[in-house]
Amino acid sequence: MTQSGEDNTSSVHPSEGKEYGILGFIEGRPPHTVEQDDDRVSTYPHLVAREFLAFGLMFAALLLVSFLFASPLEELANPGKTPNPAKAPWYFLSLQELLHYSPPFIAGVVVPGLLVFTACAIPFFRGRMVLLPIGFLIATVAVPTVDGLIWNGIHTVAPDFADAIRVYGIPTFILLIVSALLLSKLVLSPMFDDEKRVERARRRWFVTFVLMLTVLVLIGVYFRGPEWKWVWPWQ
Amino acid sequence: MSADQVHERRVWRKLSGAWAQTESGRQLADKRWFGKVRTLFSLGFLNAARNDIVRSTAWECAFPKPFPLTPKEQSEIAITSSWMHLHPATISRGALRFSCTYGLGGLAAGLFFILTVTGVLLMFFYVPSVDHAYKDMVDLGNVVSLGQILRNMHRWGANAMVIVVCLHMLRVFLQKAYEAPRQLNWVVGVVLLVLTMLLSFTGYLLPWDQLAYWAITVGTNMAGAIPAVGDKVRYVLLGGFSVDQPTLIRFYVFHVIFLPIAVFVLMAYHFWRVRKDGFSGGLE
Repeated sequence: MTQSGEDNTSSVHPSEGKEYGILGFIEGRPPHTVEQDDDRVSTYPHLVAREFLAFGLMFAALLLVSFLFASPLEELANPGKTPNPAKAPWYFLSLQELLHYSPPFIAGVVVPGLLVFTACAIPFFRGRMVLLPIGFLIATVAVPTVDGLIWNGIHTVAPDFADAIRVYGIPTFILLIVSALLLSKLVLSPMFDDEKRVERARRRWFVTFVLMLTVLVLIGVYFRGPEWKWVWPWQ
Repeated sequence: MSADQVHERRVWRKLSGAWAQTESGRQLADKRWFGKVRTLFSLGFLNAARNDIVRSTAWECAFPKPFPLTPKEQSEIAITSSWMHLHPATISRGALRFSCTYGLGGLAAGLFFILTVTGVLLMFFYVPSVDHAYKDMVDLGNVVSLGQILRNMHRWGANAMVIVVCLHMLRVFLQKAYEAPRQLNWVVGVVLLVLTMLLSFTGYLLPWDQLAYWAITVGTNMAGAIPAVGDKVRYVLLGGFSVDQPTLIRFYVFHVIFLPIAVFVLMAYHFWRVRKDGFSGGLE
């Protein structure tokens, strides 16, 4: 900037020609500068092009699948002829699987209600406390399953006794409350003082929950035959 | 083109000209595919033909604004275009990474769009009546041109949407993108997930085959398990004591009117909140 040949530079540097010496260095930002993020790009075309590409690929994939696989169509609905087993749509098969273990009130009302409610509650728990709703999600699926398996076990040994003493879903409620108490004890234990540990548990617990539902869905789709008995896919 | 715009373009051309003089700039310019396309279009008669089209009144009516080339014009597109206004004018380069979102939310919206289009087309061939529904399904496969493809796209697309929405939720959770200030949007997302499943569930009955009939019977039986009011809820859902014509028309109306409108409104709010709450990971 020694020569003021261009007009615009001289207006920016009014004290041109004057000499300066460096007195010292201090930390911090130079004055009169705006923090600028140079690493920004315009949405159009950079992001928009990617969005259209993704949409195009997805559309092509869907078209390909639609050409290769016909969607199922069975015979005309017949209220007099119940198929065995009658299966719900695949995304509800985890609930139907639970229906096999526990009474309809638990599997059809309490569990889905708790799952949606607890999922909504997740962001309102902070720090290690977020493990509570996630653990509760796991318990909501695991408790009726375990409870049902126990009762099924008793039922195979002494069916009359099991039917006589089984009260409508109460053991499930007790199990759920006990596991909630155990869960809060666990979350508050010094084991989860470490932030990294909480983060790892947060991810692992949620993935466990998702895997549990996935496994239940897969069992319902591929491993359940007449009377909801276990069958292998190749049988 | 206004005088400002002409000036802006001249400056930008000069700047990019200077950039192309540098070694790295030249290398980058060689890689750009549209450079090759431009070369193609500059070939004699193609160029003349292109000019004829671009300068025609019809073209100017269709595209009143010139193709956005400068950063300012590209930003203006994002701000002024009603189609583009969901986007901010600029985003950080980090947000372009695929692993940032895996495109799942966008794909869910894209699938909803495809499902709307194919669904409306299917409505031309489908009568929600116990006497017609199944025959219409068979006709879609045998009589209607590309009818089977249309139905396949709608059905597989619906399944894909349920999966994609679930994966989107998993992605948001793993990236902790539900934390303050985005709690409300997470809740909206959970509601959207439930609505997506309900949309799929109501559509499941419409083919009126054995699969549809008994799946809905099983599903609505669960609603009957609600204490005290269960039977009444089931009666309202079915419009009777078993799955029949009243059920079909109820599910049809929910499938083509109420639920899509609810999903559309909530989706609009969901997207708006994404912009309002700012992007995660300090990306904006």
